[in-house]
Amino acid sequence: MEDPANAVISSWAMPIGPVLAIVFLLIVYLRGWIGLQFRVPLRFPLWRLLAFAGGLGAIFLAIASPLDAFGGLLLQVHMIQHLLLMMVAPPLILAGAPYLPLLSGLPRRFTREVIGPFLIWTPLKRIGHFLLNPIVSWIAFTSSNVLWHLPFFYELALGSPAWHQFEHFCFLFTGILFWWHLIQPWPSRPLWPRWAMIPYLILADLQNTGLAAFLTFCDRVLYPTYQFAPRLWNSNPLDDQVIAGTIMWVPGSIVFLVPAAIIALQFLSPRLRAQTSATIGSPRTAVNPDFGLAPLLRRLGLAPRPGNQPLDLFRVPVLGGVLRSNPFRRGMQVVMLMLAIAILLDGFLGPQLSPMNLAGVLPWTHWRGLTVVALLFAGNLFCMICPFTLVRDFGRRWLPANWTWPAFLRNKWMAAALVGLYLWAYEAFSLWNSPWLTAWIILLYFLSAFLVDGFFRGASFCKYVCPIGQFHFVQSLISPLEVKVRTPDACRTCRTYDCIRGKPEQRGCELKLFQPKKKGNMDCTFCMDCVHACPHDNVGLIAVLPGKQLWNGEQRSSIGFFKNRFDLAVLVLVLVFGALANAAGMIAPVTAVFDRAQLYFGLDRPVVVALFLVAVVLVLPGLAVWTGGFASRRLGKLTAATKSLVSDFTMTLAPLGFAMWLAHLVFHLFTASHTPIPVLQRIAVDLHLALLGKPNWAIASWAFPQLLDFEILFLDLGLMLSLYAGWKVAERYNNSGKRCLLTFAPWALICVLFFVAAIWIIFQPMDMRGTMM
Amino acid sequence: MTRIIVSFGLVFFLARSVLADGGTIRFQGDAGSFHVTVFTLPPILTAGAVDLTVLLQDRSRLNPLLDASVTFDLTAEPGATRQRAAWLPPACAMNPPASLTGIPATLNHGENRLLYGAYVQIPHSGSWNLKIDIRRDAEHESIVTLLPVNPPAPRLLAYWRLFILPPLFIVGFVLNRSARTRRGRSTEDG
Repeated sequence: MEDPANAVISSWAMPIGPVLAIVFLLIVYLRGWIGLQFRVPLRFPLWRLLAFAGGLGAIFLAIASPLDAFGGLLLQVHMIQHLLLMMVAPPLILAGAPYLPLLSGLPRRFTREVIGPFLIWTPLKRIGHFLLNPIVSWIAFTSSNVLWHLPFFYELALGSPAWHQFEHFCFLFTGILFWWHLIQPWPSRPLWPRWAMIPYLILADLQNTGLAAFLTFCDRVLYPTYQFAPRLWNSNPLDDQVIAGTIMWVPGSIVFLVPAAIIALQFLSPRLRAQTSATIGSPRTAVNPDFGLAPLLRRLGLAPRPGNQPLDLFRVPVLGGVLRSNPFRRGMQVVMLMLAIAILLDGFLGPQLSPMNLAGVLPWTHWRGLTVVALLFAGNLFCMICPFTLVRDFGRRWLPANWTWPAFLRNKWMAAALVGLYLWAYEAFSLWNSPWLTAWIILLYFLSAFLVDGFFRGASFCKYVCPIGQFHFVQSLISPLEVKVRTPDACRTCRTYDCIRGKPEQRGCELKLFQPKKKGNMDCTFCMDCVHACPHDNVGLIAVLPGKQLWNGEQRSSIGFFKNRFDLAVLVLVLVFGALANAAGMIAPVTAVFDRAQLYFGLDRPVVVALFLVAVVLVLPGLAVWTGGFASRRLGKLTAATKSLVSDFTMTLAPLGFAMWLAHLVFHLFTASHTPIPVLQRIAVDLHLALLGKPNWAIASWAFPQLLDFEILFLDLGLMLSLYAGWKVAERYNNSGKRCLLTFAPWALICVLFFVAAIWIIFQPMDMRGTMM
Repeated sequence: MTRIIVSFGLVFFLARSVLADGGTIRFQGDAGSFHVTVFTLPPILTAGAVDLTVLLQDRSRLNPLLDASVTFDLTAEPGATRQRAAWLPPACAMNPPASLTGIPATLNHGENRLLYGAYVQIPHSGSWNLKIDIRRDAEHESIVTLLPVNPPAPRLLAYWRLFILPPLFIVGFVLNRSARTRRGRSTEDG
């Protein structure tokens, strides 16, 4: 039998939102604190970091520990939770002097462009001044304490998770206001003399004592919830209330009175007062780079990058070496090739029930899902380890590989058509439900890669043919990593151009992306050829602002200007609205329309699907973007051609399309997460290997109730990034505020309509593909 | 012996509906040697996903019991008022909802490890009978309580916190631009 005491102490929760916020704050603070160690170490000694971390730890303890689990059953536990939020977390957080570390821990551009204007915005400054008036802070803190302990409000919080969270927020927020004047976090200046903190604290203690005494000496249970809550270990609700009152009284009073006593002692002892003022470092020692923890941090590789350079993943110890090594890449390609062969064999020879076959599970659920996750968090990693690359290399070895790719095909028209063909075939022939067809597609893919690159020079297959590659190229415009030059100055003096020409032992970029002029991830397969070819070691895998290239109007190597690439815009349009169509194909209302159309008009399914896709992926989006371009031109009084505007603005829809793919494919990844396990068990049984046991087809999955929340969040982020990118492009065309708004308005409308359609789709009952359900 | 004692609770105990920590106590009372408290979350039940939890204590000393086997059965009260079907989040798909009988309640279900619990999808609004089967050693007890389930909340309302993000972003962006414009003007004036 499990010990109840163990059960109590293991009653931890992991509230995702607050925990992510705590981790985020800690990372930002730590990043800022490390930087400040090299600039003003005396202002930010180690104890400040520990205090800030301790404050966040106190919040975590309050909301995630057994204190939260048992707060609804025992008032005394709930009281400890509240004290942590009011009296422990706020002073510790403020002792960390978080203002400067948090600001300098964020990306500099974000601080300057996004937060900076607010920091000097007069209305916000007025609100800040008002709230940080000691009288207002004191009243806010004490009234929050009293109000939330009135039975009506206390019961309200106990009865509703939302009110409960709001109550906790009030305690924390008013706690920070109250303790601000006592801790006086640097660089704020005190508004009252130090001695005034003595009555400030004592008056707060009087209020706290009054409330605590009422709880302690009241002869009836004040809160009905605790009156009727189950009595653990025969506890008595009135005794529980007395203990809660005592906790509020004794530790509460200590928290107020000890600082009051210290301040009083400081005033009575001039020596102590002098010591306190000396704790603030002098500027002379503050700029010494070898002071404090700076040498240790430098030795640990945690020193800030010189010139505030962005993160370069190749310079991260171990990981950087692995990522740029050719054997690693080749090894991963071999692994992927073996998997592809296994899928082929099972697809042709295995059972033709999709969830029971590797070809029905891995390519459609796991590979697609993991690909979009990798694109979101890193970049085009799947092109980097693409199994077709090996086959291409065999083709080059055995076939001439010296033909020139036809000039009329050096664009994205064929790729757009192939993406459209894939979308049609997927739905028309239910590819996800046919291991046999899936295997044939993979085989044809291998053959195409072998023949195209076997006969034609360069990476023609990747650049002009491969629809999977085009998907990755477009979506990786929103990825946070980019293969780019580290220092542009090094390229200015370079005369060998090895990154594109290559050298005898190392080929250059086959996709003709000249590093100094390369912008963004479009057409980049992350093959790292340029990295190895560069004689100056000047190409890195560098962190970039996701989506920035969507509004960058500069000329790009091998691509040119986006405004002149109508073919690219059409490819993006097909991928963006293809995301909508692909997800729509699995919801009940759309499948019902397909069925009805087949029945009433006597059409075959492929014809119905083709008509649907032509309407949803080509005609309607085409009309929408052309109208958008035309309206932008007229409203913004622009001289640019409509076609250029359409080409430029269509790129800004890419984040929405990516969000829809992400929402859709992550849904499949999580709902069918474990499906390869029984498939592998089945294969082992088929091969008469009793290694893995009997297949368990009713296996669990990673599906969780908040999956829909994440899908909506992805779409939210996609909408916000698309709107922002659209605004930036509009700004490029028209700098005046009103004209810019009018130029942007039609595209904002398209984004919002897309978002509404996407939300409607994810709210529909969906077909559980790739599972036995 | 699989003797099923269905105790309606009204004889031995008083069923009360009071609020617990973010949930509601739907039932509290004794059955055999057990003292049983049933919680539901959200506090006001609506058709759709519901968190059902049970605290099982020994009747005499009120010590929590953690070695029992607990299952839930949900059945719709016949002839209930007008019903509205729940909308299901996509994770629940087009497929028929999971069975509402014999749902196992587990101890590591949620935050409080003293509670046996399970997530249940209530398919439509109306009155539902919740039967809780408790087995411990040779003892087998059952309890039935009535759950009033309201019609499902509109979908957009259920996710308002997420839908408010883009409008908040737009407001923040407009304020940011306004603050930058003023800063620019004040710099020029200065």
